[in-house]
Amino acid sequence: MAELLGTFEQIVLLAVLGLEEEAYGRAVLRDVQSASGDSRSISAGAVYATLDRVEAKGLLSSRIEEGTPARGGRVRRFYRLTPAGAVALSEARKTLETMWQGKRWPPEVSA
Amino acid sequence: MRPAAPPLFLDRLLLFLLPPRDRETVSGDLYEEFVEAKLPELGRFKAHLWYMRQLLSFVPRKAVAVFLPILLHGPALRILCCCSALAGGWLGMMDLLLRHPGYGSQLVIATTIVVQALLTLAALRFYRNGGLRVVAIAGSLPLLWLSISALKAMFGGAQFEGYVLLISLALIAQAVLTLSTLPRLRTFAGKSHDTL
Repeated sequence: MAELLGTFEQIVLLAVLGLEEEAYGRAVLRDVQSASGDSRSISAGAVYATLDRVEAKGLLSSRIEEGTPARGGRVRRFYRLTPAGAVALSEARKTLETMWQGKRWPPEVSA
Repeated sequence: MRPAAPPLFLDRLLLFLLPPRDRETVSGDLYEEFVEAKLPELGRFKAHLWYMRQLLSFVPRKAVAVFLPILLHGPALRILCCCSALAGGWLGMMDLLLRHPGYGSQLVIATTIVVQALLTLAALRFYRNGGLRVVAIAGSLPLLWLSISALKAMFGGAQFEGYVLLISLALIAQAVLTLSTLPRLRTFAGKSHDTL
C-alpha cells in the first residue's frame, strides 16, 4: 500500500483536480483558502510547500506558461494530477470510507 | 512609483525567501492576487498587511533551507573536531613530556581523541564514503562514554579540573553532533540545497 496522504495534501490535490486546466498557483491558493472557510487560516507558504512536496512525490506534474500584465509579466506554473496522484487520492478516500463504515455518528459521549 | 503593485522592498524580500524554482511563479501569483483581489477588496493598508503575512509564511521554509545544510555540512562539527584534535594532541604531548605515573593510558585516551576527530573530519569531507561514515559514527560512541565517565569521575572526586570539564563537554557535543549529522548525510548527498 502506498504512503497515505495527509489531509492538507488531499485538499491541495482535490483543488488541482477541481480546477482542471486552470490549476495554477494562485487559483489553487484561492480554492484551498475558500474551502477552509477562513482565508486567513491558510497561508500561501503552506500551500506552495505542499504543492512542491506532492509534485516531488510524483502526484502532480507542472508546466510553465507565460505571464500576464496583471502579474507583472511573471510566468505561471500550472499543475495537473498524475495517474499516481489519482491512485493516491482514491486510496485515501477508500481508507476513510472503510474507517467510517459502521461508525455511529454523532458518538454517544458520556459525561 | 508602483501604485497598484506590492511594495518593492516586500517584493524583493519575497524573492529572497523563495527557492529559485518558485521565484517567478509564486511572486507572480501573489502579485496578481494583490492587484486583482486584495487591493480592491481590502484597501491599500490591509492589502499590504495581507502581502506581508503571505511573505512571512515563507520564512520557516527558507530558515530550514538555510540552517539545515549549515547544521549538516556546516562549521559546528568541523570546529569541534579541530578543537578536540588540538586538545588531544596537546594532552598527548604533555603526557609524553611529563611522564606522570600511568601516563600510558592517558596517552591512549589522547590518541583516541585525535584519531576520532580526524576520522569525523574525513567522514564530513568524503561523506559519500559509507564505510568511513560508519567508522566515525561507531567511534563517537566510546568517545561519548569516555567523556561522561570523565565528568562523573570529576564530579565524584574532590579535585575539580577545569580542562577536563571543558574537553569532556566539547567531546560530548562532538559525539552528539556526529551521531545526529553523519547518518543523515547520505540523504542529502544527492540533493541540492535549493530543493530543500
